[in-house]
Amino acid sequence: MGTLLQLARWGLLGRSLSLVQTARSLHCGVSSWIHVKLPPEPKEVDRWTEKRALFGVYDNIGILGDFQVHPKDLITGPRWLQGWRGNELQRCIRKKQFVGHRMFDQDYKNLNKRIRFLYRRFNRTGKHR
Amino acid sequence: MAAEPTRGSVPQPRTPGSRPILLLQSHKLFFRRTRLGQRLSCACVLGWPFLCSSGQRNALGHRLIDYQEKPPLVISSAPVLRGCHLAIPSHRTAVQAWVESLRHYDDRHVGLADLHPDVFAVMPRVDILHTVAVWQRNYKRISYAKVKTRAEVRGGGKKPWAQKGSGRARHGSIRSPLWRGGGIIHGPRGPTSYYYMLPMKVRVLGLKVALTAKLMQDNLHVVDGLDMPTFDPQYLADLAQYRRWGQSVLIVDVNKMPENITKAAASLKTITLVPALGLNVYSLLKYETLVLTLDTLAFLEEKLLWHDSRYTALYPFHLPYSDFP
Repeated sequence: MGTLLQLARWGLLGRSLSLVQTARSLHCGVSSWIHVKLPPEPKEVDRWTEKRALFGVYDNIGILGDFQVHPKDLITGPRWLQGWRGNELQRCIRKKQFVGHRMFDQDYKNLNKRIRFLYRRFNRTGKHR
Repeated sequence: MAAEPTRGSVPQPRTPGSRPILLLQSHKLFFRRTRLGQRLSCACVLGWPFLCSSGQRNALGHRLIDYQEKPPLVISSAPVLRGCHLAIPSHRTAVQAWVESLRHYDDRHVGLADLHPDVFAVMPRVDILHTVAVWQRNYKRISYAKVKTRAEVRGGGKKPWAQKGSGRARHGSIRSPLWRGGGIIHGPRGPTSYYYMLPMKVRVLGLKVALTAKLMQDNLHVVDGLDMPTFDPQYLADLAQYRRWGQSVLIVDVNKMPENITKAAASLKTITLVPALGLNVYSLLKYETLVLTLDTLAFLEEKLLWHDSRYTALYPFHLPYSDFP
């Protein structure tokens, strides 16, 4: 009994040393301990960082400005995806049009393979072709 | 309405949301918002925390202010009355809001502003608010998740063992999706964009519904200007707390903002200054209170009402049209 208690305490200590999450033990019999793992504590999220406080600002710049700027001009990201949406084949083709001339050799070859595979997949197999 | 209404007899605005509401805040301010001109004297005991030089505290631990220490409120005899510049349909009347001022902590009844009902009293379309907020979250989203397919994973060109004879299962490549370390078939592929645009009139209506909701829920405050007596951020925070503006305040102005309020809001997390071009539904939903200046009201009404009576675009609006600038 004493050994079991010591083992339980060691187990508890070991767990709390390695993780923040504590474990507790239930003693439900003469000699049986059930280690109950508690769910992880929710992480503290600051809802008022600069990015979160100013999210969405200038989304209506077209309507409230004089339509000189479109909200798609605010999007930052790969140039072949700014203000545009497509499925995977369309994205691959557009990427090849925009940046294919300056891609690394292996990446360019993989892109071409992917285009070839997707073209055949979409246009030659399945119900919708 | 009298020709020269004095401070005590300014008529109450006719908006439904301006009835006095009993507010009990969690930080123990037992202070009822009452009709104009009947401020309870207990406010001077429990309410205003700044300018406390003595540091005396009452039983609840709130700082007590000697009433004579607070700067006196200067009441000018000419209230600011802002009428609606754009035509209101004959079957509707304007909604109204108090015009406040930031010059003094208690300057809440500088005048009255008429607001156009087709901007500030539209049908409360919560579904449109949801649509526009979701659009704002997603249209600029680009997900960069990408995993390699079996063609892109390094290696795997050679057949690992002969088709027959070894006793093991037949395989053609060590990078097939069945293998550990092999390619993923239907994983996320490359930077993906979630861009789409809602119709312009839906976005405009979203703004109108959001402004209506703010006004009708007593979260819209009109201010005659953003002039502040000091650049102390504590002044702005205490003003917002005294006037029960809520946890977060969004202050919008068309013109260039004065230095005092810029410096004050720079160090405050939940009070934000935004130019009028930056007004949007997501921010209106995130911030509890909206503070607009009179110039911003005119700007917003003009911009949002134009869409009610415009012709459909034959070509994009950023190209020149001969009828309007």
